[in-house]
Amino acid sequence: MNHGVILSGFLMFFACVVLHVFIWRVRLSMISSLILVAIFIFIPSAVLLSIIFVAGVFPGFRDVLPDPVVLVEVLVLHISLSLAYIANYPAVRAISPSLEVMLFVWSSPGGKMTQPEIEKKFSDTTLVNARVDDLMIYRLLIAREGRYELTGFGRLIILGFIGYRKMLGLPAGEG
Amino acid sequence: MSGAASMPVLRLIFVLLSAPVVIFSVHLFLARLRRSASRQLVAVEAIAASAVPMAIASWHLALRFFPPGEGVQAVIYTIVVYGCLANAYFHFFNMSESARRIRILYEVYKAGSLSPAAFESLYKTTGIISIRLRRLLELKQLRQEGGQYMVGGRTLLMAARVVIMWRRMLGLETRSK
Repeated sequence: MNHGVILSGFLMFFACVVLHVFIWRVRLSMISSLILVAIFIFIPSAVLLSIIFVAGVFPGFRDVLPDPVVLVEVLVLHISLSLAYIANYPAVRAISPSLEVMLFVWSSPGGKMTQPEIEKKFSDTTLVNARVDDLMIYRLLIAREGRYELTGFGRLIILGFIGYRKMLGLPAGEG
Repeated sequence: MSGAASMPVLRLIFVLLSAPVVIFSVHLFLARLRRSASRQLVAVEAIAASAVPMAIASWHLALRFFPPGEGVQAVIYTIVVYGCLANAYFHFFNMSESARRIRILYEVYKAGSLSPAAFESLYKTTGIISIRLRRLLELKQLRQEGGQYMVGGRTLLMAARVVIMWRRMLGLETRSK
C-alpha cells in the first residue's frame, strides 16, 4: 500500500466536503440527509466502480487506468470517512440538546446554571415540532385527520431500531 | 498489482469491513454484562475492546505480509478505517438511545396514531433536559454542586464548539430548531 492510496482517499473525501459546503451555501435541501448520501456515497462509488468496470471489460484501457485493487482501497477509505461524516451530520443539522446544554453552562456567568435556568433556554414546541416536521419531510410520518401515523417506511425504520435494541437487551431509547 | 500482491490488501479490506459486526457482537456481550453503566459508555467500551481482535486479525491475515516499505501506510490505513467505522457505529447506537426523531417514531408506533397535543404531553422540555443532564453527569461532562451544574469534562464541549463552527461553514443558524 503506497502513500497515494491514503492521500487519494482523503482528497476524494475533502472534495465531497467542499461540494457539500457549496451546495448547502447555495440552497439547503429539505431532504438534506439523502442528498448527503448521494454526494458522499453514491456518486463517488459510481465513478470508481465504473472505472473498475471499464478496466475489467476493456483490457486496452488497463495501462491508462489506475489498478482496480488500488481503487477499491481508495473507495473503502473514502466510504469509511464519509460514513463517519454522515453519522455526525444529524448533530450538526439539529444541534443536539446535550451539546446545547454544554454550551449554555460553559458560557453562563460564573459557568454555573440550575436546571430551571437551562430549561428556560428551550421550549417544548421547538424541541419536538421541528423533529416532527423532519419526519414528515422524509415520509416517515403522515398527518391524517389531525393525528400523526407512521408510513410503511417509518414502521420499517422503527422496527429495525426496536430489534437492534432488543438484541442488545435494552428497552427503547428515551429520546 | 499482481494477484499474489493484492491478496494481503483484499484480506485487510475484508477484515476492516467486518468491524461493525465485530463491534456489535462485543457490544451484545458488554451491554448484558454492564447493565447499570452508562449506555453510551458501554458502547465506547465495546469499540475499544473490539480493537483488540481487529488488530490481531489485521496483523495475522494481512499486515505482516505487506513489504517493509508499505507496512506503516497499511497500519495508518487500518487505524483510520477502523476509527471511522467505529465512530459511525457509535453514532448509530446513540441515535437509537437519544434521538428525538426515533423516540417520536417509537411513541407513534406504540400508540398507533398520536395527536399533536399528545406529543406535547409525552415529550416535555423538563423531561428532555432531565434525561440529558443525567447522561452528561454519568459521562462526567457536567458536575453538580449545590443544585448547580458546571462543566466537568471538555470532550463534549469541544464537540459542541466544532458543531457550531461547522454549522457556520454550512450557512446554518447557530441555534437548534
